[in-house]
Amino acid sequence: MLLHQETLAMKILIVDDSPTMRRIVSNNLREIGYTQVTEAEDGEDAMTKLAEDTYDLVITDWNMPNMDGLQLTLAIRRHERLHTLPVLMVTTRGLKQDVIAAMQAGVNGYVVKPFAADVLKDKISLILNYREHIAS
Amino acid sequence: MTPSQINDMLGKMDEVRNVFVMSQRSLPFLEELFRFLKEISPTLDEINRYIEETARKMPRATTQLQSVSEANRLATTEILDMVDIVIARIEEIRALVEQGARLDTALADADDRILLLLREQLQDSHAVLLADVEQLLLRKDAIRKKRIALSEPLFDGLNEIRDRANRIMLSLQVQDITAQQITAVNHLIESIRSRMHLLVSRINPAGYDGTVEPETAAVSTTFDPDASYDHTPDRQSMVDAIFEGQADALPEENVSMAKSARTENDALPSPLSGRMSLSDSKNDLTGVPESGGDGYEGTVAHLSRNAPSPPNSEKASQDEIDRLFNGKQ
Repeated sequence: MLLHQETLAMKILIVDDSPTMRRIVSNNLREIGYTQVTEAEDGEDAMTKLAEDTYDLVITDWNMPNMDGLQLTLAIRRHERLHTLPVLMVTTRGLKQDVIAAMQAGVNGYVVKPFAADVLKDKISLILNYREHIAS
Repeated sequence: MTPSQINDMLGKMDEVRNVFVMSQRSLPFLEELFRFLKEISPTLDEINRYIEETARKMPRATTQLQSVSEANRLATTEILDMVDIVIARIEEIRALVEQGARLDTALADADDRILLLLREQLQDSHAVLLADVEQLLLRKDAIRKKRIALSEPLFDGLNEIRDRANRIMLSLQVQDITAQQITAVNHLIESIRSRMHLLVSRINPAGYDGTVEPETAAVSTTFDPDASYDHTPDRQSMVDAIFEGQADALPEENVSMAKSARTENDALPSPLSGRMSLSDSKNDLTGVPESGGDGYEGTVAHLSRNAPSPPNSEKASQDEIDRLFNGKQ
């Protein structure tokens, strides 16, 4: 799937308590062409960063201290300004009940770890291209 | 004394006699029981000592596992650093090769201009010399083309190295997964230690010094107990099937949840769904679970904990995925 320049210019927030995973996802995004990538180490840190700046996509892990990915998604969906912000869950949790719970919380995409580069790329571009399509 | 009173007395005496007979019969058993208890007492002491000793060793096992996890993390960081350097060096080499290609093109342009000038100036007077120069420039151009042809596999090689370096980087997701697995084991050890602590304090409350008291705070509780390094596409296919609106094909116990999920998630439609429409873009969040007192607790909050998976929370097999897609559940 081709990515437009505007799509590649979008700002992405990566939320994961594992520095390794943050780095892997971040490097992978840069490899795809996304240059505006910010990192947060848990849901609380993410909410602080989301309050300080505007983002186009949140990529979050599920299991994190303080505020996990599901709680973060719920907090975003309830937030007056952020409630339409797309959320992509990237997690080791691959049970049906997990996926359904994530959908209920309002995630827009779900990637199971360990992921392949093309899977992450496809999910992100689907979400962002769809958002662009809606905006236009 | 009336005959009925005598009969009563005889009845009581008979009961007493029965008790004596019973006691006489049970005496060997009681003696055996006392002997057994006397013999088992040192064994119980031994078990108690063993439990205490094992429980004392458990923190060391937990610490060692945490060390393994930390060493794994550091090694992964070092590998990631190396991968970053490799990718950066590849880009430098690619830039140099591209620069070389641009210089080749510039040289070819210069040669063309030289030939043009020579033709203008020497065409009539030095026809032989011009022909020689043309031949030389043609040979030079052929050599240049050969060199360009040689740089093509170089680009292919660089691309392949970069692709493999990226794959190495993605394989390092194993660190996050093993870290969660180790944390799950540590959590299990702490749970056993906690039980042992309870057992030891009950067996020997007087002699118990409290040294095997659990230190659960030392173990992180943010982990997925089912984390696995599974590269097969099965799990992602199952996720995609659910997101593509295949809720009707799910097992009965999940159907209502999944349908509910679709309804609630319509507020921000899944772009992965094959059923997307513009009407999905409405920002109606009325279906989103309401919060509890702490502001983050939703109706699904209980699923975000590290509770063991219930029996019906199986991972999807390929057959099941096929059934999900075909709606034959």
